[in-house]
Amino acid sequence: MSKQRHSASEWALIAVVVLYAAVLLVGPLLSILWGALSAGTGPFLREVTSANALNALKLTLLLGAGATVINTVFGVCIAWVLVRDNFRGRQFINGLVDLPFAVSPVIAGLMLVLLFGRDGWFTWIADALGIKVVFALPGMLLATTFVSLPFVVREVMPVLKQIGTEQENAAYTMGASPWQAFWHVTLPSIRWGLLYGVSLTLARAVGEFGAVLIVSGGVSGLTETSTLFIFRSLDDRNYVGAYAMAMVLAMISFTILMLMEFFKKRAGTRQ
Amino acid sequence: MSIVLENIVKRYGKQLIVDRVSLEVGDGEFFVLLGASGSGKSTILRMIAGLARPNSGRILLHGRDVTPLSPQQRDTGLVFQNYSIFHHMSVAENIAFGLKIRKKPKGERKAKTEQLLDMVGLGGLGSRLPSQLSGGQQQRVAVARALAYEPNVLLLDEPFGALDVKIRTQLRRSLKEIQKNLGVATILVTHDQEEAFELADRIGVLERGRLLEVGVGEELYARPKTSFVATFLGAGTVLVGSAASGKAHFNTLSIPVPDDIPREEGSRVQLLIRPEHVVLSKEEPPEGAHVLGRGTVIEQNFNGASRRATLRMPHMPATRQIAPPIPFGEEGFLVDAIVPADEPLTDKEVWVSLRNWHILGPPVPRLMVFDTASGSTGPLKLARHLMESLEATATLLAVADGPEAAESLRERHKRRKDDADLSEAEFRIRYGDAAEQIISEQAETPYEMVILAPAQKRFSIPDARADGPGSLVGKVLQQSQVPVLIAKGERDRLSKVLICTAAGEPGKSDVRVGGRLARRLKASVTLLYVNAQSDLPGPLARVHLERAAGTLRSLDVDGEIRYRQAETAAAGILAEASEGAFDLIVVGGHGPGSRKLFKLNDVTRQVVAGSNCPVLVVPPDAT
Amino acid sequence: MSIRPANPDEAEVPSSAVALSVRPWGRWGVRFVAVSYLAIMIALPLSAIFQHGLRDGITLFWSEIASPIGYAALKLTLITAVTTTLINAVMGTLTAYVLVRYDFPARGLLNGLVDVPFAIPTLVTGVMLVVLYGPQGTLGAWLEGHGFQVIFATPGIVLALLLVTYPFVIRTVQPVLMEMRGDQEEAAYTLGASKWVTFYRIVLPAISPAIITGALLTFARAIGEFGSIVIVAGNIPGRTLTAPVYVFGQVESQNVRGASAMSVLLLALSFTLMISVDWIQRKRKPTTATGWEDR
Repeated sequence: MSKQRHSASEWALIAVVVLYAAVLLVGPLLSILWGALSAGTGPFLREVTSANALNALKLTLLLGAGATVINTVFGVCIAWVLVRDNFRGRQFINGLVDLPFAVSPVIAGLMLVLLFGRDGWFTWIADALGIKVVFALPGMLLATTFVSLPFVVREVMPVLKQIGTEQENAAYTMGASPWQAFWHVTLPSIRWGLLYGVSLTLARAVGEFGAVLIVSGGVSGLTETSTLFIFRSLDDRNYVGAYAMAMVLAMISFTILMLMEFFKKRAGTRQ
Repeated sequence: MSIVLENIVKRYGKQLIVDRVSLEVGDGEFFVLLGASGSGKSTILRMIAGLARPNSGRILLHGRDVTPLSPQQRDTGLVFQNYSIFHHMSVAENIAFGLKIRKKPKGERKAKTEQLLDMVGLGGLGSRLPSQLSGGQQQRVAVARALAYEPNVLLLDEPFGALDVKIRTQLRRSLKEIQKNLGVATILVTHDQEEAFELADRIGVLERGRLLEVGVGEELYARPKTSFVATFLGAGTVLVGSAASGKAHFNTLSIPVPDDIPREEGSRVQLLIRPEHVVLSKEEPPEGAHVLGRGTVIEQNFNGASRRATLRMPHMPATRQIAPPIPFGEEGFLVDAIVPADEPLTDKEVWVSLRNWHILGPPVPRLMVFDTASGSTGPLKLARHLMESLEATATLLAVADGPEAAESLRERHKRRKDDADLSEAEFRIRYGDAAEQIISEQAETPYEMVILAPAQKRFSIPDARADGPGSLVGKVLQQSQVPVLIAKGERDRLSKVLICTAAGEPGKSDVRVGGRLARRLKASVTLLYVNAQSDLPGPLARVHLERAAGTLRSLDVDGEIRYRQAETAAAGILAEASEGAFDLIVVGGHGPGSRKLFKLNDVTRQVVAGSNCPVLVVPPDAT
Repeated sequence: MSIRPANPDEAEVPSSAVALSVRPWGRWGVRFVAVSYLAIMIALPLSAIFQHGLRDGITLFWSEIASPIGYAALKLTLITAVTTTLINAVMGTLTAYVLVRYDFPARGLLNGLVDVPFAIPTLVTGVMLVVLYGPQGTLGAWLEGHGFQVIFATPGIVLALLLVTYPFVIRTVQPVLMEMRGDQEEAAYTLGASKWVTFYRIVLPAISPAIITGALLTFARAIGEFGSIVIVAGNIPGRTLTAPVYVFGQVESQNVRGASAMSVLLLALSFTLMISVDWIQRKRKPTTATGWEDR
């Protein structure tokens, strides 16, 4: 229940909170706009449409999509197992899911280097298959998938629990196989929570930096994502380029954010 | 036979939910499983549908053993309690779901859906979403959905529970019609008697997992076999009288006994009187009428079409009411009668006679006797005595560590059984911890009483005082739902009974149970009250004692009341017991799950520990 | 977004229908897929780091960490993380309270803004801060004129961390406050308690597990933050170099051993925090065994 009329001290509290948010969030958000267009719209557009920039964006979206698809499929599977199944070690598996949150992105990148880099544990498998993992796309995909892993699981689990099993049971008594029941009954029931998780995954994947920095070679045009592009541009003192790409990423993120909010609201009103 | 259940058992953990249920439902029959919540009826339904698996037993649908099959393979239609309609699909899509799974062509699906929508009265609403429908409409969708693919068996789990009364009656009628037209074997599960009577071809009464009686509604109502079913289905009073010269006698009233009811001289006979059987009159009824006596009108409750009058009948020798349980302190018994709403009774006292009645089969109490094959034979001797006086059956329970010892144990127990003259008693072996097994046995079969002896002291175990909370007696007392008779000493007769009205918590069940038992044993009864201050009871205690005496009188027992002063209740009780040379002390217990037994000054524990004669501990809810 | 880690003990005892309908190999199949995915994606990489970091024994492990630069980086990380956590705990609780209990213009906007740090890449966050507070930035120039340096100094690090962890405490406390629905507070008011007393005695005890959870999550995130720090801090060894940036530096200079050692330490710290969070969650909601509902 939210009050409509407030006393002076309450207004003061509101003011403090709003001011804090403004200074912390709004300021920087607006400044990126200023920074990108500070040299004028011309240079801005030129930078954004340069070959390197476009390739970087393409790669970001590719990796983002890839990581999202993988984590969605496996995430739903894991959520199902954690909610509907009962076996020893379930608690442990649940703990594993949350670990990417506890791991710094650079450490994530380092782990992959240890596995697939020089003297890595699995480098010989990769070599045998003729795939290059570190300093190449597969590694970057792995890194992006790792850091964005928990979202779908964590958003789907409570929804799965909430819808209960009776509708699925009804489907079983009517002749539906477990897969059919899942596809026709369960999935549609959890779709908003699922989509919310998917949007969170996508946002995280698109914004990934630390892990791919370590895992990629940073060769522009080949293994450079948008975030790596910004980093390199700053290093090269190409400030307009950096700010321009930062703004593009911010805009993409905002779009995803709006999707997030939309799905979140739909998921919330499903009671 | 469309549906056959053979000895279905379902346990969840230690709890027995469904206890050896067998029933048959014929083709096209509408069968109703009637029971209170917790009786196991939903579980049975889910097992038939395949959503739960029985621990033992078989389920056959149309002659096919479906017990190992998944729900998909059983071809049943189940209407859930909460409808469980698919929220994200339209009404039509819901109904057509079963057909879609079976890959029926689109045209056929559409036609069948239309047909079903019309049948359940939802024509034209196919494109609506469940959220746009009322509860009653959603229920119809659930029924239509379950029938769409023409299952062999229709199962309904309390389908009308969440709906308004008017809608309920409407839907009931529709359902009955639909079922008749389709001719599909149906089981409906409910706790609503009216529903059961209206819908069922036959009714099965379920109580605590056990199927008590099965029959056509009218038969069950007019001629129930047990007093539970008698008072479960409809209202009424069950009286107990005794048989003499082939008739049942209830004071001055004598009723002929049908041939299939045992009627040896002096055996107990149960009489069911329903409100519609009772005739009230101002003047004395004519010669030849079956007169119960003169009753006092204590209540008249308006019921819409009629009035329900409750009358108190004075205590009649050799007559007792056993169901429903009489209020504490009531000396006589209570009878209900139906009076037209526009003709309320104006007189305080009326003549009560019977237009009709029903004689029930006699109840046979069961005793559980726990024997350790090497301990005292006290329990066995008491069991013998009680079996005779109560006309009861007994089960001798032995608990072993494992099946290896079974054979030799059986031998030993058999010998002891025969020595104690208990050859008619049933013998059962269970494995595990003694106290746990005694309680499990209680959960599976209804017993009147558990008889055991305190364990021998075992010096090696610290807290193994023979009646400490960790001991066998302690554990059983803590969990038993029925009275526990602790057989101390080796008595084989109980003729002097001491009933202790507890100083702190006035007990009622101990007076009832103790009084009933004393009467059957033809023992004398003394009611004891212990006070710390003086040997005279305070006003509250006096009221309680008067009520207790009244209850005893209603049981045809004349109890002597004694007051005593002592420092603690337990000390007073034990002193009285030894001074008066009593054979049995009756005390109230605390009921299952209570930890009060552990308290140092707990009266029950002290009495059990200090007594030299047998002690009967009665839990508070025992009837 | 629900920040609280999900607790599988709250999952229902599975309906026997699943046990019956899903053929044994079906159920095991799904289990296998789920477990192998997690094993390959998470368990394996983590073991690699632990093995590598501790391979040459504890002494070498400590020497890598205790090197002057490494040690300074660790200290800086911890100090900034603690500062951030404390500020966030207070401001986050206040923000959550204001969002749930009060209605004011721009409330919806504020609620939406809370989720922004979830969507914005951390690198972009760093860039934004530099643009605003850097030597050429609007605010930055002004602040520096007054002798207050934000970017390339510790305040900048804290600022970046505050931004990145902004939603954590808010989103853990909000649901709890919403569940409480103000009834207890109203009761306290009618009994004569002032607003502050009510907040202190009624609201705070109820939300403190949530605050602590949010704080622990903030801390865990803060010690691992990289993208924004590497832009904002200047990364001067011994002065503004944090542990994650140190790890990055070590990898760049091919000292994988040093990087692993520091990583192991950071991971151990994070894991302890996550376990504590899980433990608090468990204490708050006692496990309920559902099991047989309809009899």
